[in-house]
Amino acid sequence: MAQKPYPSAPAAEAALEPAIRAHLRYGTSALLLFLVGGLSLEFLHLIKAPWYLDHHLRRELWVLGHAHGALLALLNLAWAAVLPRLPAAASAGWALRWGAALVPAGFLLGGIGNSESDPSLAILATPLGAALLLLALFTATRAAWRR
Amino acid sequence: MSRRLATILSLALPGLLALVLAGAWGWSAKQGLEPPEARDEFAYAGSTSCKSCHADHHASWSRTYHRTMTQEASAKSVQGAFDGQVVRYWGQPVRPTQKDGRFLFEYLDPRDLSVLGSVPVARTVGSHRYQQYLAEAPGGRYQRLPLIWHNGEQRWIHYNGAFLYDDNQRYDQHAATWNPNCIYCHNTGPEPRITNAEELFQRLKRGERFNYLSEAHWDSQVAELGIACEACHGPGAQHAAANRNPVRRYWLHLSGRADPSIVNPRRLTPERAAQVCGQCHGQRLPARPDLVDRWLSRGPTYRAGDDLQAHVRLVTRDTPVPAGDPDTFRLRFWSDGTPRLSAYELQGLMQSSCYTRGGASCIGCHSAHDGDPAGMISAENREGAACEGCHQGIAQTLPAHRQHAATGANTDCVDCHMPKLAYGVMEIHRSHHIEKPAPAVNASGQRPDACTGCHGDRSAGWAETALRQWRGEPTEPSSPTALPENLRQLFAGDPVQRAVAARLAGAEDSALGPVARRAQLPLLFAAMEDRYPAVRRFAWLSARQTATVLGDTRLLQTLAGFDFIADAPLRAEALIRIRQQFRPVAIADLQGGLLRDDGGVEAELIASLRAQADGRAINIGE
Repeated sequence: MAQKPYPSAPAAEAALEPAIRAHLRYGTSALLLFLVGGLSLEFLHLIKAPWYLDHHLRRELWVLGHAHGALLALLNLAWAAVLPRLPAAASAGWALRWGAALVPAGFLLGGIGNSESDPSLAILATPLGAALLLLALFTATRAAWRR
Repeated sequence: MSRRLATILSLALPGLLALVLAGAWGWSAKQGLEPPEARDEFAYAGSTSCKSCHADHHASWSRTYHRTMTQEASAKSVQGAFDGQVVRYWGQPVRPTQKDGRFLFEYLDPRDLSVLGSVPVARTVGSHRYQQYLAEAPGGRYQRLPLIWHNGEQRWIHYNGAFLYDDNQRYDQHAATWNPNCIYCHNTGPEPRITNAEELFQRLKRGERFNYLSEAHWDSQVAELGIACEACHGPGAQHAAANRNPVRRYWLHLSGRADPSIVNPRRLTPERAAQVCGQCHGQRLPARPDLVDRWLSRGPTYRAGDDLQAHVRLVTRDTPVPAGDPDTFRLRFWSDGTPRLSAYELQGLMQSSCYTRGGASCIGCHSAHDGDPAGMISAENREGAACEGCHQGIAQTLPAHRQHAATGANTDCVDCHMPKLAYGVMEIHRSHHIEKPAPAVNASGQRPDACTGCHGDRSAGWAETALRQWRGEPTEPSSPTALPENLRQLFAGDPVQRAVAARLAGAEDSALGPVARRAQLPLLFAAMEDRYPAVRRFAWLSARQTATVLGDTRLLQTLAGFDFIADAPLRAEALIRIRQQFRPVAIADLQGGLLRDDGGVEAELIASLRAQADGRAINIGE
């Protein structure tokens, strides 16, 4: 069976360029968004907003949403940086981006219309996003172990 | 296996698994929604379990004095000054002190102050107005100690000064055993667990006479010290177990259905909701004699949500007294049945048409989770927002309804319809019998009234005439020389009347102007000679408030030297200094003849009024 020829290095990088740009766009935009989100949470402390401060679960969920959103944005930037060395992981880039969006979205929306004891049903986005992240990282790990 | 298939499977398999799990949970949730076949009345989980799901409600409850009603003695819970300073009342010197991290009362020999005995504090009761202390005693008893710490005044007070008794009391007059008394209302899931009931019963049958409180042995247990979540929501272990199932929880959230495994007072009928509070804020006896054994062993049978009256008999003016003074209960109510002690709020509410016809309940005004922890009531509700829910017509014409606008007085609904007339925990509280003012009827019934309590320099006739004029009814002019009703009750009333009158005479929100307040000071000094410590204290508080209003700092300083429970000679000396400090001035309003025109008191009239006073002590069931 004829083997697929490896593309030359510049050609490979050119092929990865759209994926790298997608991760860079997502990572920088999300970082900006969650930085603004963090400032908003601080503002809620500043004005002592009771609908945030007095709702233990909402506070926890929104802090989790902010933290996960920012960290996953950084993960996208890191992914863009290592992608030239792990080109096989590029196929799972969509899962990483969707996962990075769904996990914080679930936390943030789960804190809206929630009861005291449980998040709203929007929290289902979080495990779905987590599953996508798992898939992306599994793909990247497999690519790293393969020669 | 192709990459695409692997991707599809890696998403589909967890999805399928999630669907199966959701189905299983859904089925089990439906089973869990049915009420448990037999409620386990002892299945308490504790407030820590509640916290993991109800953190906000746990936090709002944690602020309350309910939580700290009973606590193990510790540096965190003890509020009193255990600083080694000797406190001497009723001839007994006591030194509250600390040793090795423990809080002790050292009982001293009055002659040389040597230590006769040392009693360690085991638990504290109360944390709001005052704090009581319990010591462990033989037989598993917890004994209430005579010295209490008053938070407002930051001082030690002997219990004899907190009850409506005269000066002639034993040092241990109000000794109480916690196990068959305080345990019921100051804890959650109380179980006194008397262990030798049968033996005591046999001794009684043999005709033996003994002190039941000192002979009984106890193995008392509570689900939680203090008044915690499950006192108002019912035992929660079954609820906590059922709601580990997330599908059940989301089914309840989304459907808006009540969870049958727990009680939410806001979902109960107004009557049942009021009974949740009334299990303690409504003095009661076991509904039937056969329940007495149960109360002494595993505690009361009522649980939140039940029909309280199926479990207990609420104490009213007409309730027969099982043993002791047959007037014990009668004396706890005004002649019209309105409670005059605190912890009878349910009985007061049940007499109100707001309850009988309007469906009012405690939680219409109060909330265990909102508002000021002191009264568990929001600022809006204090000012009448709760009343406006039903009385919208009045709310729209409030200035006309209030009738006090011309004087600039800002009267709230509660000022006229829930006057302060109930004694408890060394304060005068609002009546929970919501009613219309009726000064003439109330004066003839020997009870305080909203009008004459506030207008402390006016007679009942004056107040009745004013009310009739407002209503457009025919009136007769009242006698200008009639005794002001509050002052009449201050000297001629029974101990509760005198206590209420003394407190109202100088109340911060009194309608008395500075001239009238100043004129009444000599009468308050006279009331500071009352033979009931509680009355003396209220008269002293009113004099202090009056001096504050008048800005008389020298009088305030002199008043600070008066101790309402000091020995009589010391009190007399302090009063001499106070009277020397105060210079009466000529006055026009002689307060119905109680004052001379030079501002001094008419001692003969006061003496004749005192001769009319009912001197009976009032037993406070707390």
